[in-house]
Amino acid sequence: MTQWWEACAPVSAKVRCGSAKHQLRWQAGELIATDHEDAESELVLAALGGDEPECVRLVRAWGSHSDDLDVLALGPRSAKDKVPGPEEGTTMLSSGSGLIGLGSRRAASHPMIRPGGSGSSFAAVAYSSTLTVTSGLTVSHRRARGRHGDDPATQRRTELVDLMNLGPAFQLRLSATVAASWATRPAGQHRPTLTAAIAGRLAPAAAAWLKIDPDQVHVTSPEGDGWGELTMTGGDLSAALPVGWLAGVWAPGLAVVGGRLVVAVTGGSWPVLQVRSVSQPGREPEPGTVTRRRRGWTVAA
Amino acid sequence: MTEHGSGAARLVDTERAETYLRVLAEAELRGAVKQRPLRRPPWPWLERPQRRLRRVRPLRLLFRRVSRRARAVRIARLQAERPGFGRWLGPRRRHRQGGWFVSAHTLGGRHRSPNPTINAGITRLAAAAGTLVAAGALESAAADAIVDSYRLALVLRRRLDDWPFGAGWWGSPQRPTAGQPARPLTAISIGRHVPLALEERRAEVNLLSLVIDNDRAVLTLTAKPPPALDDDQPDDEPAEQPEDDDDDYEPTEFLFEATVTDDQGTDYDAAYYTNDADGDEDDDELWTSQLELTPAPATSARWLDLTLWPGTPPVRVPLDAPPAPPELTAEQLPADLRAEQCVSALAETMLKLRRLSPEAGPVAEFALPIVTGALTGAGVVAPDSPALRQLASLGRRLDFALPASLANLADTELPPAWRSVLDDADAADGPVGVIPAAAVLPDLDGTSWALAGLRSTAKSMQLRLFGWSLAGTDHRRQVDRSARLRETPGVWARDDTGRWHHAAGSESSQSDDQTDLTIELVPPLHPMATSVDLIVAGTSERVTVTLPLTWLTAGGPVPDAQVPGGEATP
Repeated sequence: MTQWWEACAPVSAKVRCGSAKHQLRWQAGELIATDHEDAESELVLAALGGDEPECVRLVRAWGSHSDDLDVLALGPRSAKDKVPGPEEGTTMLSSGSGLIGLGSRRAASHPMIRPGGSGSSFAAVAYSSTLTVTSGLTVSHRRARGRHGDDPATQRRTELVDLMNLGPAFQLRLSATVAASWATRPAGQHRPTLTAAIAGRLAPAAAAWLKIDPDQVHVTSPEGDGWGELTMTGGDLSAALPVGWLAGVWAPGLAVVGGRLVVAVTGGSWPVLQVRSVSQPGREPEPGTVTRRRRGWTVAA
Repeated sequence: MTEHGSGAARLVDTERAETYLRVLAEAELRGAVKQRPLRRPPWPWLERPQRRLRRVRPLRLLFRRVSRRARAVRIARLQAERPGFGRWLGPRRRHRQGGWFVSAHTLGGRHRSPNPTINAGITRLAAAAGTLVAAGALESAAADAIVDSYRLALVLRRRLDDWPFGAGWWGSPQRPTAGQPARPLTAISIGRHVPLALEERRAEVNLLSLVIDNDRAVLTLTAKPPPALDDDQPDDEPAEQPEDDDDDYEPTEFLFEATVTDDQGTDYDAAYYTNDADGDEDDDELWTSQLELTPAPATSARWLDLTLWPGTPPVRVPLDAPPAPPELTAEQLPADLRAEQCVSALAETMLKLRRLSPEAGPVAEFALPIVTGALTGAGVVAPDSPALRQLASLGRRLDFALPASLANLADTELPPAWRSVLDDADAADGPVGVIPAAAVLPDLDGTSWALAGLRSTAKSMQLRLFGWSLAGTDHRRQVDRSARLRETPGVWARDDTGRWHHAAGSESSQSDDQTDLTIELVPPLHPMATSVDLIVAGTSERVTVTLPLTWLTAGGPVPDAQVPGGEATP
């Protein structure tokens, strides 16, 4: 069994931090502010009331949302499901060659940023929250600008949107982080959320795999510690896959490779992985090797 | 209300219900992302005035009052300048949708127009959520969170511009209502018939009930306006009405002159409103009329003196010794009956639509698969439960196009209430009159309701209800309304002859946290009925008001026995 992040390529993004552009890098399941050598000390200083650099703030936000199920509720469901990051006018490079976000002022008018209720400080909060990737505002500046800065719910939401604004590659990795954290703990009262999270992501993949309507995919919670179960009944697919499938298989884009549904990654590291996949529902998974090419994952010869 | 269904609902599995709703949200999201994203406005500054308008919403009540007062002044000036003009002009209560300024929406521009497909998906999800909450399968907060999260997912994907109240409240705890009533609702039956001599014309007013909340008092009344003065027309011909502003035609301008004082010398601002600007189709009586008094009378006030026309003697309304309210019984609905209420609400909708149109309406076709799908999908009722079989039987009897899940169910006997309203659907034998009913109902779904009058006609029965929401802020209630199976409480009635009556229509006027509601029930009261049980149901509670049919006559309220099937005033 390999770690879930082995299937994901490292990605990086440029963010404006103060007057400089700094790099955020995700690798091995962690987000790192590469230009802040002593980020931990800066976090401590920020906790004591000092200014928090933007890079450090995003790293802290990433950690605080690493088991936030709202990430799964809001994040992408498939490669076609775009959750826009910075607005048009922003230059975005793919993860393989780094990501540079040059957000525009228009990003500040992203509608979801608007805090509710009074609306009196809408402009201030919108301005501060959406420009986090691009403006490098410090926390103290934010508080000065937006009265909602002290509202934990608004702060949490703002952080989540800031993380989403890092772009699709980071959205997938954040989703994988959350799924991985829930894969090793009892679902408890969150079972419906996790079941729906799998259903929303498996349905488009299985529809493409079996050429059926996504609504014909029904997901239930798996029993036991195995890879799960896939059965076909009357044209409908019943699937029971563990939450770990989201982290290890779906997030790296491995759900369907070479006409087979991948159910687990068993070894290797990006870009060559050993996987177990099924050719049809009802069949047992078979081992195989997949390789990341320019156009995506392919079955290795 | 076992007469409504079979009580065949099963024990509720909350986890299954939540899973159903979340998976439904996933399916809706899949459909939504196929739609084109919203374009960003090419002129972002245009959004500012829109939001500024929204910000002044807390002042809307003041704005409304000022605008009405300004309108009244303008009318008075026109009347002074042009004798004979403006007799029919006056402020008229208009229906508001969701309580929003229309101008606030129009300023948004076309580029923000919502996609109907997106909105339909939200409505489907909200309806399913409301059904599961109403059925007791899901907590309201959990259902709200799922719907809110879905909307936020749409906003992030630019499939939805925003919801009207911003995203800030998403995930945040429900805030207390800013204007919760400082005093309990009070409903006082008045029951006074007041004949008026207006110069050479005669008018009649029936004072029904007085409802007092913390910032206003509403006096419900019916009025028979004076005949029009028109020297050029014979007395037996109706006067011409102004053609240039028929929207504002209102024949009871004399009630603008009403003044109110109390025993402590307080003068009240009395504003007159009616929805019956053109009078009833059968006569010229104005039923949904009311005088709104501001400020609300102090709790120490002992009486009000109401002068309807200058020079006429005042009518004294005692506040400290109101008549005894009618008998009330409140009960919690057990889980299985809550599910049954959902089916009953669907039946009510089908009966209502059938009455409005001989053909099945789109609303029922829309609601049927959603509500029944949610109930069965969440395991609240079995797919072949007696309750659903009854619904299918009703649908067939009303000639509705049923969804496949219902069409395959076998016929079964209908509940007595449904049978009764179907059997008496064409009845037109109701007694004609009004009853000064007044009662404050226990809270239903976080809303306090006050009954403030009943009117019976040959074809129907109408109730005046005033609601005050205790739950949540305005935007929270906006979601609640869309998520509820119905916006108004479910109202059925049964008179003591055994005839049932269902809500066939309603008119409402809403402000920030108040709802003025008129509900029409059909078929009419039985001519021999002497009392009626009004059954008002929320999602988890039900209140029954037993109302003696004590009609208001010229001499005051009299028991129905003295006017059997006859006609009371006006």
